[in-house]
Amino acid sequence: EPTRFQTPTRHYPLPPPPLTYIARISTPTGLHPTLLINLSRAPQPPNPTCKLHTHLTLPSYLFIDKYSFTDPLFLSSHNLHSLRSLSGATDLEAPDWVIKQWGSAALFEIVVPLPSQISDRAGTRDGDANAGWNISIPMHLRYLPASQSSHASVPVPWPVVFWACRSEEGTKLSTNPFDRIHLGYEGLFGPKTRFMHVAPSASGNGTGRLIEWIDVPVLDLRKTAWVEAGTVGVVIATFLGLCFVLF
Amino acid sequence: MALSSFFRSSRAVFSVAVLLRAVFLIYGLFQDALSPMKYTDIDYFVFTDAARFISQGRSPYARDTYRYTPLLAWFIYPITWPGFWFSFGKVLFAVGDIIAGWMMYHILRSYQNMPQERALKFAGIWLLNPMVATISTRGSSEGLLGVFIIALLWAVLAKRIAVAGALLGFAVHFKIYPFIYAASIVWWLDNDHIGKHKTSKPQPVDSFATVAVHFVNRERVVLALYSLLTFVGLNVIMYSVYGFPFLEHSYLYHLIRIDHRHNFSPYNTLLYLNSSPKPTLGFVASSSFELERLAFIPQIFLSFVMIPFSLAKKNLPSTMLAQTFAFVTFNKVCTSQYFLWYMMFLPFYLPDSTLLRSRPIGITALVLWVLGQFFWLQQGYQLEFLGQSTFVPGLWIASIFFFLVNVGVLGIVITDVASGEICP
Repeated sequence: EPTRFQTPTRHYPLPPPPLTYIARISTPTGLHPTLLINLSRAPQPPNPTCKLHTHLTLPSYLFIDKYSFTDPLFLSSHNLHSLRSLSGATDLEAPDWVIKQWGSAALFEIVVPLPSQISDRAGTRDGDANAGWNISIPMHLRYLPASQSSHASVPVPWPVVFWACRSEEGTKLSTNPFDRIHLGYEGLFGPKTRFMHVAPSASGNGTGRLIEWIDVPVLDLRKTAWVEAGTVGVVIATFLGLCFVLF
Repeated sequence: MALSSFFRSSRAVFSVAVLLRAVFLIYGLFQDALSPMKYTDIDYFVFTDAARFISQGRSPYARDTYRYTPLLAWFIYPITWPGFWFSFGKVLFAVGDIIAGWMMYHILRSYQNMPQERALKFAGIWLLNPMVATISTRGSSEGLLGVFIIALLWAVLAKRIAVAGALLGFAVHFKIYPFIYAASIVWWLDNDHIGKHKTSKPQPVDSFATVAVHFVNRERVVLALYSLLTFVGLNVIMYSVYGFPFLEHSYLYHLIRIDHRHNFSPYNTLLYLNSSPKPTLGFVASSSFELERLAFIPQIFLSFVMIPFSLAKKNLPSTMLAQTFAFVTFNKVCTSQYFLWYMMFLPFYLPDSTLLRSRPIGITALVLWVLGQFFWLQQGYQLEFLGQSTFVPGLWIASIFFFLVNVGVLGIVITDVASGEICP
């Protein structure tokens, strides 16, 4: 006879009511793009132990300044609770061609509105309880190599958004033959954690793909013909001029 | 009417200077508490983090981007105490400002024989300058260096050579660039200036040996000895406590750094161009090593050799101004904090300078200097916040223009000092 067995799993989809998110980059981008995550409605924890997180994987040309995420005012203005973890290439000054690593990964805990705030918004002029919830994460771009164009187009993958909840069955998860840990952000949580995933919006940001593109300004090689001779010439000429004045 | 009597009272001027800094300090506390945009400089958070590491018995270099001597973290150790002590560093820097201003006033009165009111006006360039007050109260350490440099100048003028030597050694340990003052001070400390009496009969043309022997006088030896002792002593102590990271972050980093991120320096665009990997070379990052090393040549030659040699004997403070100006202008990196390094010498040079005696020249120089920065900042804003590729021509032209304006002003300073117009 066929046998059915069931094991506890670590990852679950979110139960209804549906919650999705859209990620995009604020414009204009400049050298300090902000990642904007918009949740379709104000998020409510599926059970009291759940905390909302987002995990970013940033290619080497993007980085996060962890020191800016220590200030409570700064965090709350972006609806962030805290930066739980940051690893990878975090040098604050280096250009991209010096970085040997693939990039960095960051885990943020997100602030969730209190029930009182949601009912407040239901009564306000500009929002109903389904007005959505916005999170923003300021990032910085490294200098990219000069090229024969004014900008370089680089991809940024969408972050993942999930609830991390305490699970008493967590200790039984080791009996699950399909469970793999330490593949990604699971390693940042304790063994008794289970994850409930918020789905990204089905059509992406209208493109059908879960990638955003940033146009990064770079040194335009088509215009640099005079730079070397010009700079050296000016320095030498002024140096000689000052020598003349001195003697 | 009120303005002229204001400058007659040193008490009034210094009180206003203190009040200005106090107001900025308190305003800063409010802004930091209420807004995510902080008044406090990012560097201050670096210093305070490092001081906290020190208080835990760890190395200050555990803090990323702490590129200074551990002494700085030790100076602001009280910030680790709870409550308002966190602002101790800013208070220390602001007090340093005031002391530097007082010393400027004292030097102007005693060694440039200025009447009180005039001396207060020129010291006011530093004391009542909102830019200087802002930089210190935001927690940037440039003002603290000001105390030591002005104290160095005072010690030399007051013939307290041992003290001057110690201050010079300390200043170089703190920030490296003050080594350029060694050249001008040593050159200035000739027998005339130290008051040695020459023999009454005119000297025949000296042979090289005689000149060399006369060069080595007691004061120069004392200066060299004390500055070397202090510098080496501090380095040995810091190295023994903090090891190689001390050398790496305090010295090596500054000597080999290439700040790719855009700044006022005329070399910035060229450095980006040269260090960026080129597709034709198979994307190997080519070395811009030659350029970085060559760029030292005009900078060091001007600030360490030619300006001191030519001008130091005529007027020491104005020579130090010209040296610092040349050093900053020809440097591979130039940010607005560096302007404070030469601004502290302005009160000594300006009184007799062309910039003040000839209104049109002075005003043109000031307007061009401000315009140069404004043009650069506008291009920088378009790059950083609007994402436009202004590296060329915008930022490059702006940095070259600003460089030329600075060289022009430097030329005026040199001409003034060389012609002997600036009375010592």
